[in-house]
Amino acid sequence: MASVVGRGLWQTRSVRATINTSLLASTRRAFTSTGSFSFGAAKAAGGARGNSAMSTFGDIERKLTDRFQPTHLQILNESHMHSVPKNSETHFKVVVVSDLFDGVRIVQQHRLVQDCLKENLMANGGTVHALSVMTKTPKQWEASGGAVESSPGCLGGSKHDPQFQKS
Amino acid sequence: VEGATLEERLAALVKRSPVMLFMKGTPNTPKCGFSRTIVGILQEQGVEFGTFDILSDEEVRQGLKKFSNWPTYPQLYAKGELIGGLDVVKELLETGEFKAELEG
Repeated sequence: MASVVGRGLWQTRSVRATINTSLLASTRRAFTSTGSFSFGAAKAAGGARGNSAMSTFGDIERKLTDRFQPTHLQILNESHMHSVPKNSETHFKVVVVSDLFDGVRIVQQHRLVQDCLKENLMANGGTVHALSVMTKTPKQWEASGGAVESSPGCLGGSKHDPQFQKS
Repeated sequence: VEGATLEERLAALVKRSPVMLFMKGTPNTPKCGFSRTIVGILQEQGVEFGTFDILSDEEVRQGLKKFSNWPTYPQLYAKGELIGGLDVVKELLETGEFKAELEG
């Protein structure tokens, strides 16, 4: 059960995955080696969900599910909290609870999520400018009571940002 | 070669202070909620830190993301090594590992 703080609509998907432990073990080895990464929510309340297969939201959901087989997954589109046009898909928060994070350093856990979503990043041609990441193992998630803080409010950074100035 | 010069510049920049924050804006005038929050945390924790405004330098802004394989700002470094962004810092605080990470 997630307790939600802040505005916006949470799209919660509790995934009860059957985890194949031998697959996990080999995946864990692959994940903990440092590769070279090339670089890079719920829909706004009332907004049309659209074709989730085409939207960034849907793409993020699919990728995170496939990669991490999470026992708990939350995706929040926080774009409405920022100085961007309505129905943007620029600012996201993702909460990924997965056994794959067991024994992995936090910074590396976040890197794994970023790498999974790298094509969605603005620098790589996607729509995502800001990505807030929370990763936990299922045990940590239980212990935390499933609390997720809302992200910091906007300070208008996008207004000063050349990335957002379309010619 | 241009690339080598930038890389050298970045390698030096991340070590400019023992704890170095790459942020949007400055501690007194942050231009992003995430940057403001991380500054607040560092100040609360009594950490001395240097800062660099990545909005003032597009070359550093883009170069550092590749240099560290980290796609977003703010970015916190300790002794030239990337600690992570705001979310990592918050997690480290929760697990009590934050100070240890800073000391490397």
